[in-house]
Amino acid sequence: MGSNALNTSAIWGLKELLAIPGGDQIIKCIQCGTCTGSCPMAPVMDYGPRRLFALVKGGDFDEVFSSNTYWICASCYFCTVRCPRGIKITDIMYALKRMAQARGPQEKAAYMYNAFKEAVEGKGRLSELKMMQKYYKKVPMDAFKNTSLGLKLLAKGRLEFKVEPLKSLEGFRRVIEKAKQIEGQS
Amino acid sequence: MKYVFYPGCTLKTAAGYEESINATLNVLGLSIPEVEDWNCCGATAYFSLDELVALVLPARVMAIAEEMGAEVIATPCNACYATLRKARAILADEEGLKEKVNMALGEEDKRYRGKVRVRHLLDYYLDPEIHAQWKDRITHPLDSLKVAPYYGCQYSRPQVEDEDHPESPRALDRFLETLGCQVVDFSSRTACCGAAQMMAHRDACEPLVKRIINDAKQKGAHLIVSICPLCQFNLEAFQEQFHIEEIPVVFFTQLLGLAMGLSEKELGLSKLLVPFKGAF
Repeated sequence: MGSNALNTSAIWGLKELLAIPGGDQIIKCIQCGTCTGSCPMAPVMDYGPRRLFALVKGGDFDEVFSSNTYWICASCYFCTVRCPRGIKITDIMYALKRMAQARGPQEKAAYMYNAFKEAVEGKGRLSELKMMQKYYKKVPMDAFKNTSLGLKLLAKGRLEFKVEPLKSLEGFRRVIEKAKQIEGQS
Repeated sequence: MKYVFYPGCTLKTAAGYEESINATLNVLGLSIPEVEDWNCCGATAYFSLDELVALVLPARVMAIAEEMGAEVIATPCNACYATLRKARAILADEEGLKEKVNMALGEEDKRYRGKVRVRHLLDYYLDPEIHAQWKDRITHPLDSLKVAPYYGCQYSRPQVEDEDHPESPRALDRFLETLGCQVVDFSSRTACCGAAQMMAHRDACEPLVKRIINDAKQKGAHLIVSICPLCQFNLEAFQEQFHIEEIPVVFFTQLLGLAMGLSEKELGLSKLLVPFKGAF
C-alpha cells in the first residue's frame, strides 16, 4: 500500500476494531501463525487469521473486508485457546463480521446468519425450516444439494413444521427493538 | 442444587435426544422444570450481526431462570451452553453493557442479575447428587460396546469460567465408563464439525467431518457419542458422501437409557439416519 498506508478506511476500521472489548489486543499479535495452524477452515479462507491480522495491523481494511476469512470462521475457538498472546481471535472475527455488514460484498455465511435472525425474530425461537427457506431464496443452488437429505429427515420425523411462538412474543419483540435502538445510539 | 432446563430450539428435531432425556429422567423420578417461555439464545448468528441483541437474548433466558429461583441452567446443546456462559462472562466484566441489556429487558419488566450459573446437561447427569441416583440403575452394562466420545468445540471452548480441559475434556469419558462402555482414545474429541457453516460452506466442512469419522473407525469404535444436536446432525447426515462403511452417532442419554434397560423405541433410536442396529 506504500504511502497510502493510513487512508481513511484504515483509520475508521482500526478505531472501530480497537473500540470492541478485547479488540485492542490485536496490537499484541506476533505473527506466530498458531491461529492459522489451528484453524479447521483455513484451507478455504482467502487469508488465514495470521495474514488477516497482518493486514489489519497494516491498516489495509479494503483488503481485509474484501476477504472471506472472518465470514468463514466457524467459532471453534481453537485459535483463541491456543494464542500465546491471549488474543480473543474468535471475538475479533465476530467484530469484523459486524463491521462488514455496513460495507463490502455479502458472503454466503452472511445470508445464513441473516436468515437465522429473521427466523428467530418471527417467533422468538428458531424454525429450522424457516431459516432454510430464507437462506435458499438467496442461494438457490444450495437447496438442490440438500433435497435428498431433506426428504430423509422428513421420513424420520425430524423436520418441524410448526414452531410455537413465545407466549409473550409482543414483549420479546419490544425487548429486541429496544436493544437495537440503544445500539443505534451508541 | 436447583436446576432449570433450557432445551434450545434444535432439541425437538434432534434424533431421539429429547425422548431419551425424558425417558431416563422419568425412570429416575427426576424432572427439571423448563425455563418458562424461553427464547432462542442467538447462537453464533447474533454475535456476527448485532452485539447488544446477542447479549440480550441469553440474558432474557437467564433472567427468567433467576425469577424461577434457579441456581443452575442445564442445557443439552453446545451452542446454547457456549452462548449463555459467554454472555454471562461478558456481562460480569462489562457493567455498561449489563446496564444496556437491563434497559432492553425492562420492556418486559425483566432484570438480569448474573446470579444463575450455566451447565451442560452432561454435567447435570454427572452432578454427584444426580449421578448417585442412576449409577446403581445400570442393569444392562454396555461392556461389549466400543465408543468414541465426541465433545465438539463449544463444550470446552471458549474458556470463560471453570470448563473442562479446552482440547482434551474427560467428562463424557467418565459418563460412558460408568455405563460400562469401552471408551477409545479419540484424538478428534474436540475437532470441529463445521457447525452452522455446514449450511453455507458444506464443501469446507465435509472434510472436517470425514476426519472425525475416520478417526473413530480407525480406533475401532462401534459408535460415536454426541452431546449436541448440531454436532450429531453434521456427523451423521453427510457420511453417505464418503462412500465408507457408516458409523452410527448417538446421544449420551440414549446410551444411558439402554444401560438402564429401556427399549430402542423409547429412546428414539429409530430416528437415526445411520441405523443403530448392527452397530456392534
